[in-house]
Amino acid sequence: MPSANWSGSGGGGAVADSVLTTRGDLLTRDSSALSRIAIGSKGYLPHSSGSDLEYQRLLDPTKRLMIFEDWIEGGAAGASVSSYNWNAAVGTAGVLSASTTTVTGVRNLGIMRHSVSTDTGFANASTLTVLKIGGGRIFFEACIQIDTLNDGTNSARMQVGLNSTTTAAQNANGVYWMYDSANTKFQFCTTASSSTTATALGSDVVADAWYRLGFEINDDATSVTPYINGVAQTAQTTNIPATSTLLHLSACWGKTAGSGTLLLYNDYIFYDQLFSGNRHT
Amino acid sequence: MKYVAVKKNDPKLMKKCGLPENYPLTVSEHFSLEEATRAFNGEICAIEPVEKYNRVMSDLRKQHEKSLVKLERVKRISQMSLLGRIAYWLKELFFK
Repeated sequence: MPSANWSGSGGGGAVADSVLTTRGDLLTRDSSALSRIAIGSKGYLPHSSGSDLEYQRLLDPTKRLMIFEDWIEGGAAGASVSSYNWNAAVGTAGVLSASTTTVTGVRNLGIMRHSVSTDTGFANASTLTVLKIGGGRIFFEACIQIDTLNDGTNSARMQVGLNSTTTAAQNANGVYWMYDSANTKFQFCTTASSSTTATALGSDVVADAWYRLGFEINDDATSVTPYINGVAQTAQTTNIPATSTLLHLSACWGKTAGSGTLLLYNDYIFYDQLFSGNRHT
Repeated sequence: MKYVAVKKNDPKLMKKCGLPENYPLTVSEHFSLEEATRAFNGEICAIEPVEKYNRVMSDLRKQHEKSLVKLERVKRISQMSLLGRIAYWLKELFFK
């Protein structure tokens, strides 16, 4: 079986072809001839079975938007969230800072620490409010840990995902995971103009445990499938925000009762949108 | 067929914001009518098929747009400390 030559003119006849093409095309050898498979209109190589495999979506920025924040670029331990170019919305003794105390193991790297104490205080890390759903499939996942659970004295509200809130209050619009005093489980929520579909999922939340909370919004934003630790749950189809609504990608932690300190740890935030058309149309 | 169960609202809050008492603020989705009736520990005020709910909601939102804005303001103020509330009302009085 002949082997492909990736080295240009170095020997073998693939003079004009190189694996380093401008759009990440793939070179293959069929019998004795080299051929080029174009990246295609969707920005990724289709699998021969016809299914669109996640890892095959190559990096074409005109076709997709990807944000991965691992909280490791800050200047120093204890650095504010703004060191990472995220917007820090904090109020009434809320604090956002990189944490070194919960970093354990060789693969569990940067962590953002959200701290609230005074009632109604909040510590929210967010992007600009510019994201819209309905322009292509969106996948979101955040890895979070609740340090101390809500009780009769102290409680806080977590909202991670695509949010509209800038305080401790619940979103008026959004697609997000919530933990608050109303439920001992995480609730997956879709909210449009203050009407919320809330579904309590999984087991009761356990303190000091890492959870991967994700969701996938379909192309035209008519259905959202939540994921807990990578396992898909039943899709929601009601109260999905209008596609014209501007949202921010954020991790929000707001105090709802009491004066004791409550902490949320955030290991990473991942957002991946595959545009259903070109970026500029 | 999926059903939407609508949770009962706080009547005082709804009155304050000018929203009908059964306006669907918090809902949940269910695969059967029986499951829907058990939602929110039975504290429900309506059950609708998902398709009807989605169809009706866009009209309802338009109809109650102003009241929903008011609701957000009421919720935001209720989250503020006393000092925050004073600052908010002073700002409303003198700068708007």
